[in-house]
Amino acid sequence: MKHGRWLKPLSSAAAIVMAFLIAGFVVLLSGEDPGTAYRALFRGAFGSVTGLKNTVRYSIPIIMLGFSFAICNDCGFFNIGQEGQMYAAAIAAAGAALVGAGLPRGLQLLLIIAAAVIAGGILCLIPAVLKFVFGVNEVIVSMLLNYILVLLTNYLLLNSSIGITGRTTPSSIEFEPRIEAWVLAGLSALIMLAYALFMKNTVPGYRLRMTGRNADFAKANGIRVRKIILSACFLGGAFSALSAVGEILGIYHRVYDGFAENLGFYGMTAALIGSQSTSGLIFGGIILGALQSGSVSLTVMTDVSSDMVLVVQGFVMLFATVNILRILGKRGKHYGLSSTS
Amino acid sequence: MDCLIEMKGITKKFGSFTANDGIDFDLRAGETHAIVGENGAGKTTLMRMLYGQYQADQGSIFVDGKESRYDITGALALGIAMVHQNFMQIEGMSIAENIILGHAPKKGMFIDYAGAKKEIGMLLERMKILRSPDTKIRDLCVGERQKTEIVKALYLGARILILDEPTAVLTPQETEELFHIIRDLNREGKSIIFISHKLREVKEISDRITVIRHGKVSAHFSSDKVSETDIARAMVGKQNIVLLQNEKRGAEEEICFSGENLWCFDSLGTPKLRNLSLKVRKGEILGIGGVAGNGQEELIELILGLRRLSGGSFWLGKDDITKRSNVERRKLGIGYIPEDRMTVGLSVDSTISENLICGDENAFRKNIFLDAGKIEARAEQLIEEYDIRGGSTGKKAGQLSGGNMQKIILAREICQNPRLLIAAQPTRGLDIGAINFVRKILLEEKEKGTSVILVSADLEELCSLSDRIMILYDGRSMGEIDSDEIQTISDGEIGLMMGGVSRMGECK
Repeated sequence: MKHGRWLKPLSSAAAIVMAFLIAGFVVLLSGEDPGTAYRALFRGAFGSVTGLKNTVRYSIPIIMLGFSFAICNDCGFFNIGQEGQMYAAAIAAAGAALVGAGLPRGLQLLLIIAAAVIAGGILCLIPAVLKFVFGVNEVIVSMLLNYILVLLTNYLLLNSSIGITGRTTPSSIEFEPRIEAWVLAGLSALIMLAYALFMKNTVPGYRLRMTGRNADFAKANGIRVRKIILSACFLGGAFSALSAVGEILGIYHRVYDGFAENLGFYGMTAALIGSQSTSGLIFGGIILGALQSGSVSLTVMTDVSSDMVLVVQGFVMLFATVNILRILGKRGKHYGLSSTS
Repeated sequence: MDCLIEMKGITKKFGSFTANDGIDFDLRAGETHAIVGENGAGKTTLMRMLYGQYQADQGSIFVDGKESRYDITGALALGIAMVHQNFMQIEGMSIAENIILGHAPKKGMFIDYAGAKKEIGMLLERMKILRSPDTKIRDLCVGERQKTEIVKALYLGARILILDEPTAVLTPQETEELFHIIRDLNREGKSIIFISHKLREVKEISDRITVIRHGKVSAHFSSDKVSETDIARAMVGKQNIVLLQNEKRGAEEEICFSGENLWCFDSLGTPKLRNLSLKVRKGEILGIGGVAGNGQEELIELILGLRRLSGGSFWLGKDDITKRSNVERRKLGIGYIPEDRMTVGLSVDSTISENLICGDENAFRKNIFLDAGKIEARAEQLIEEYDIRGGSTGKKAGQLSGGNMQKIILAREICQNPRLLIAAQPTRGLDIGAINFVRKILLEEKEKGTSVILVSADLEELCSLSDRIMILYDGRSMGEIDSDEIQTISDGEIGLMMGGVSRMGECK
């Protein structure tokens, strides 16, 4: 079993490599050279300071969403409602910005972030309570909530005082307090570190891990399982909210209609690549962020469509869900089985 | 007689560990061949190769005289089926669905449910399972779940059945029933491989016995010409095999725990406990016996606060704990050794240390963080004290053998100094060495003044350890057997109580 600890990272790496190989084949079919395409992608993401900055910029929200997915997934809750949670956070943030106008900058920031986190958390709690108390499937509730929140955001941007008129895309008032990009990056790194420490080295983190791995065991040993699970789901929503807050305060300074489109799926993919390890999740987030950041130069430097990035992401997600090594190598076969004697 | 199966020179390694080392084994048509050995001796590994789950590194398997290599599907095609020790069933699906899973009979485009259910219904009846094929697995008790596995093997047309520890959870009567079934199957020409620790049963049911020790065949016997002692010697390789007994029966006067007029109805309104009262004194082991599914499980869950009480009250010392949550009750000093080690007793995917501190994790807090050093120290101390073998603190609990897993649970519960310890089937599936270890711990707890509630399907165990025995039938007490009667009462009398005849001689 000594090799077991390398199995998951290897499997994730294999998923990424396979995705790139197959996407390369797709590029080949479209009559372009995959080598050139990947070189452009890589140079775009890591070849310049601007590229690197962009990679970091795109990675951060994905990693936060990855945490959001992972912490819920650990407790047996499939958090697919991240977009909805981001929109809820955005509405709350805009509302708080409106209410808090005139306050000192620090207080304004605090108010905005707190409002967003609470809104995101509560939105995640809705399907969680329905699931764990009443047994309603969380996927359906979350998906429906996503639509509701997308449309609600659109409505409020057009019809309430958080929106402004006269723009082609419905958008909100401009946010007065902003977070500098480098502060955002630093704060995000701190949050990541805190998350890893929390999960590994604190009592609530320990309880969460135990509950996630075996709820019957946790319950029999006096852990308040339901409370733990619901707290985890609130935290999941809170991470989605942080992702939204970063985008709004750090990048756009407004809430745009559809600003969070599809982001939830990237977070899930990053978590799948990480397969229950925090460092793996961060790595996965960086890969996905790099793909986004590199896609710009892909269109500039080659004739390959930037949609190729979507193809790669799709395949990464597909392969991340299967244990590739288990299929490829017979050696992997025994790791999945626990031998009792 | 023809050999159905011949395994020659089978060797299987996991990394540097040799689980099987040149094992020879054969099986004749219509016989029951027992394989005995301590936990970790390599019985299950050998059977997994026969069943196609593992491939041997060396050696060969001959089926009907032909050398064969196959996987699980191939094994089924050859008529070899295994009834696992840890049932592999889907709880939310019905008996019939579980049985036809992966082998659904077809009628045109559709699954032939009606045909399958009819056939399964007949098999269930033959196994004396009084359930419809539509019953959900989760509604069955452990004994019934096991028989369902046998039904599955028969339904799939097995002619060679591997039974892994089949009697571990059965009452004497249920075991007798199982033995009838095995003899019937033998008569039909079906062959049984019977894996067990229980030597008396092995001797009774099998024609031949192969003893495995440290991955090698250490002895081979004809069942009618061998004594239990000889088998045991071959198994453990030493002569000291006496099981520990409770030498100082009796208890202090002070009552530690009591449940009064307990009622429990399940979600369908069926009473699971009917006006049951019990009390345990300090330093007393109260044995709770009875056929599985007569309220034992419910009683345990009620005491722990994992299930809602319909009526009655619980007292721990002088405190009414009826309204306390399970978390509070655990904190107040109720320890629990669950029946199901793999799913309730342990988190098999977590490390040994993580398992050892569960429930007491707050004690390892330094500021807001867990003190890794302190956890490590406690884990190492417990590993040493409880002789948990094959385990470093960071190893996954699921990688240990059954006996060592149980030691983790014992260590965790005992080191929190419980006032009341609930032990459910604490020696189920363990080898003699581990059984004695568990017994020693339980008797030590009694000495310390802890109250112990021992729920066991093993009569010998109940009579050896208990200060007092209560037999449950259909959620009622069929009467108590006091310490001075325990050694004199006959199995027959206890059997009657288990069958619903109360001690007053009145049938309920």
